[in-house]
Amino acid sequence: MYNNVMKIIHCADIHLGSKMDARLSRDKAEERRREIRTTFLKLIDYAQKESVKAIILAGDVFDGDRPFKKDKLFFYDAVKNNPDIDFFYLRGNHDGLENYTLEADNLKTFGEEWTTYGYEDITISGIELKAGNCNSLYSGLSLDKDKINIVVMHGSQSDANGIDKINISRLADKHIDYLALGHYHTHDGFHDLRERGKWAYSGCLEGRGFDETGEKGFILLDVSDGVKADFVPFASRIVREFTVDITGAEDFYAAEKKILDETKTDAKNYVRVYIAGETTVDADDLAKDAEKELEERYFAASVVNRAKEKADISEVAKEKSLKGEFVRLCLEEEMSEEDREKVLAFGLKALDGEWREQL
Amino acid sequence: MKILSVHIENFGNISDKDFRFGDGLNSFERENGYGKTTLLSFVKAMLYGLSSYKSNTKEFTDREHYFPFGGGKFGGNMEFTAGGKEYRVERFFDGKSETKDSVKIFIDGKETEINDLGFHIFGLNADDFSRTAYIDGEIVSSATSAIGERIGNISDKEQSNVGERTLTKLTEKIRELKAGKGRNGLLDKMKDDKKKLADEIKDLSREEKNLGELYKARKELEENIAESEKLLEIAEIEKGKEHVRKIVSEKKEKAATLRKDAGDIAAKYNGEPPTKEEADALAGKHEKALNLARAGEREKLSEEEETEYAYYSEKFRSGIPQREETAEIKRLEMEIELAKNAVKERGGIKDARAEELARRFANGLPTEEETERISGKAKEYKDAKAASENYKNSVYKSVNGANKTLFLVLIAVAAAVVATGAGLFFLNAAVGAVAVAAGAIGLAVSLAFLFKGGAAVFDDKANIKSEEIKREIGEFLAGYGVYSGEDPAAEVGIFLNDAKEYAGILERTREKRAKDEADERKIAENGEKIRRFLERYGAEEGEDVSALSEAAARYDALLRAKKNADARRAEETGEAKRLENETVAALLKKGFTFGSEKNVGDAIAELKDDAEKYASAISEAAATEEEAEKLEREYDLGKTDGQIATDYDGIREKCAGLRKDIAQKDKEIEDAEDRVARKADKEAALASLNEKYLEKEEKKRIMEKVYDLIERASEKMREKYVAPIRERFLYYAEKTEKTLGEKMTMDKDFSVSFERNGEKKKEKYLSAGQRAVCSLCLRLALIDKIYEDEKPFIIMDDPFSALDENHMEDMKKLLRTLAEDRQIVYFTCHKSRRI
Repeated sequence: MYNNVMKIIHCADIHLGSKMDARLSRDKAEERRREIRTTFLKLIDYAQKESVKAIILAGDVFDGDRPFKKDKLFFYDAVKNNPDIDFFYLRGNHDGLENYTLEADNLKTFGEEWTTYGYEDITISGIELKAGNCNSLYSGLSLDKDKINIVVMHGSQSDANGIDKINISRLADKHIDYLALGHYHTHDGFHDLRERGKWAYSGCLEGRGFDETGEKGFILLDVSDGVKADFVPFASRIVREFTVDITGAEDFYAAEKKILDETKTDAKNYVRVYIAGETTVDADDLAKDAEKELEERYFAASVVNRAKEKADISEVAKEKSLKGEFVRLCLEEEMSEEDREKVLAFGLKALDGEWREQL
Repeated sequence: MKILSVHIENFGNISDKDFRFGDGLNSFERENGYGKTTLLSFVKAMLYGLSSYKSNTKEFTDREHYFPFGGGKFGGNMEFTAGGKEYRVERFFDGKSETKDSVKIFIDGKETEINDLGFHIFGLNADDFSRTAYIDGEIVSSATSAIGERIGNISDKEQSNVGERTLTKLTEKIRELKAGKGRNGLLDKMKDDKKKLADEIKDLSREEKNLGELYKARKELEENIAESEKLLEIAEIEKGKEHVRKIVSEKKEKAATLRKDAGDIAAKYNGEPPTKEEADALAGKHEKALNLARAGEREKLSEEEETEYAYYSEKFRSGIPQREETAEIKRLEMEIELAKNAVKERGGIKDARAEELARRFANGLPTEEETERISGKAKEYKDAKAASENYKNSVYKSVNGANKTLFLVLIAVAAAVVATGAGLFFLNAAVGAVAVAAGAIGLAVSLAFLFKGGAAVFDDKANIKSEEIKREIGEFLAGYGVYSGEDPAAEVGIFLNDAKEYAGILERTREKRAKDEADERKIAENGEKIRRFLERYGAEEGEDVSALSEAAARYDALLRAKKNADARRAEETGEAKRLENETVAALLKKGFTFGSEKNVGDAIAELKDDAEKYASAISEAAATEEEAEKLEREYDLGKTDGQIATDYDGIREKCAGLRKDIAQKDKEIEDAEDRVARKADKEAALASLNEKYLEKEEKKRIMEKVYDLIERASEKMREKYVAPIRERFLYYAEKTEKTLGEKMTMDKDFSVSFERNGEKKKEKYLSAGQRAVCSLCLRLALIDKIYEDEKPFIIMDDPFSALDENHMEDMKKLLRTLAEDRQIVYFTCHKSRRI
């Protein structure tokens, strides 16, 4: 039976001052940078309201190896203005070079050796992975089995040792109750450690590019007899992914309407659309038009054409024409199927005099 | 192939129109605007359908072009023969989408599932069909163009054909990406842009790296300020040292005074000043002694208890009843209670029945002889009674039987006669009287005979005896006042039962009385014992054993309380005395003397006061000395003034300078960060450019491959088609040589030329009419070679408008010849060209 009850937030990969997806306009990229800062402050407000005692930052709070002074100042100000919350700051694979630093009583840091902080029956330990400790760190971790032990690390979950790698199996029998990880930007659930406890990536607080899809947020730990962990979606915007099959759409208009009809989410979100299926319409052109239209409706949009051109090549190959000859030659020519598809599509359009969409 | 008929429901500006076509040449002379082009488009639409409307292009499709001006059902039907079969196609079109069109195709009257009819018939697509089977005024270009489109020939720079055009365009596009010479190609420009961006990023990275130096320099400045501020702080302390020294001196002086006061107190006690603990202990002991003495005084019975105690002492002067005694008395009381209850429970036997029996047998119960005798009498009576009954029964039996009925009839008749006589008496008194008399006599006689048996009762001796016994029994029972005369035998039985019952009652009454007497004796004896007991312990009137026991218990409790109070008082006063003696001894040892003015309490108060004063003086002196020492240590008062810097203004100036430097450094950092922040955008732009560059490079690679394949395909096409088409062209050229007036040739790449004055000239130098004929030759050659299995009909839209009359005649002849083995639909708008 443990004496104290404590709420802890596990978050990671905030990337303050981060660059944004190249497809975002300068204004939108700046807006997103602001939103990342705002979400971090909202996280602290949440912690205050929920009487959270500690916030674990499992790496990559900043984006670069040399975070800007203004970003560090923003972070230090947030820490100093909330003295009743302890911030456990693990540097991750950023923030490693000479930069602006301050100290605060409630800012707890980690180094290349295991560092442990205690709250009666609860301990929080962490280590920053470097070339010099990536093999030895496992044997160096010693935890009291009668306490509730939380461990913080930043790296890729792995079955082997290495720089930026976390060998989960070697942490399984270390009396860890919760292994708070950072590095992967998506929370993919809670995983069991062998002996006891769980491990999880919290994912990032806000997605920055179209590839960072789905809910983003943090993990709330309720520590009493054990560790109860729940993922809390918290991002101000998320990237929603859609795959729209335009097979059967009669023409360009119908295909675009189908894309727009099937892409439905909150207007504040990003949308990433994959066009799929077989079509006779120019799907590259369709992707551009649909993307432009969706950008009007949502914060940002990216439409990727993965549709296949529907062309009855075998029929063309029978023609006694230049096109027929071209197709026959193309089919005989040694090349990858992907190249063949591209060459056929391009060549046939070129022979039909269709250049606009091609170049 | 031959068209038989066309019905246009609605198509462009034509509505509900039928066309019929025969074999060979079908010549129509129609004015311009008649709809010749619409008809051709309709024929093509019947064969190939119409492509869907495209919202994203500016192309004006046939579907839009020919959408009925006046509305109505869009389409119609066409009948034709091909390959020896009869075809009928019915097509109706939607306004926009091909998939909503309705198509029905019949071959020899049977509906089929063919969708691509045109291709099915000719093996050609719609465009190829219209390029070959439709011949209009622009005959030269369209014909050569058609050939070109079909085989991709590169015949003439001015002539556009798909192969050349595509290759030219591809070359152009590839060069746009990668120029043949110099660095004007898009890829090179992109490469330059990439390099520029990469250089900028490199510069910014360098600046970013330099940020580290700026942060470091800023940190050093901060450290310098901290150092100077420390110096300033020390200097400030130094400035105030004198003041501190004075304070230290005062503190030391104060400490010395305090220590002297403490020494005086110590001297009063011969060097052993009382401690606070000591004084408190003595004061406590004294206080305890006083408290114990007071408590001892309070250890006694209360006034009420004392009164009570005196009363009970008197009452129980000869002792208090012992427990065994009391228990015995309780037992006796219990016995009395039980005896009383037993007497009560037994109660009196007297009840109504017993009283009745007692009254009956007031003179005593019958003796045994009497009982026996009366029992015998009752038996005799019953026997006599039974004998009398037997006798009566025998007499009645003789009177009754057969005669009895007769006597009853006679009595009835006699009674009737009397009644009749009585009636007649009112009519005739005499007759009535006689009748009444006669009836009365008859009635008397009959009754006398009927009651002859009853007379025998008087002869019943048993009955007489029974009556005697009854009288005897009656007399006997009357002595006991119980005889009713009803049934003597039964009454004797009841009497004897009552006598027996009463004898039993008498027996039980005797037994009860004996028990009651025993219980009453016990009650009396026990009562006496109890009375003596109460008397012995002075019980007052009304005081029973329980009250006496309670009084005894109370007396016992008072006795114990008194004893305990006495014991405690002795103990407490003893302890109080002992403590007080110890206190006095200790005070004497401390040098106190006790006279009339000073008691122990005063002495202790003085001792306590001295102890407090001494402790306070020592403690305050120590604290003051410590403060003085601390100040000495803190302000380093041991050092001379000259050892510490005193250039306060200089230090302040230095700090201000350093702060300015920090502000400057912050500005530098801010500017540098702003610049470096753009690196992200530059990197994003570079990533985007790289992506585009790779995309363009890939496009170039694909275009080069396409170029290669189209070039090779064109070459193959030439090899396959040029020679045969050339052969057919020369055939038709020869046929039309007279009309052309020139000897036409065609080289291997389809370039048409003619010889004039020994000089080879290009087709463009021909007259318009010659070019139209030349073009027709090319088209016919092409049809011959392209359409292998099914020759199409040819639609001519006034192609020879440029020919003069003579040449037109030649062409008419040629067309008639050609129409011998194919269908030609010929339109002209002028009668001179009508065939």
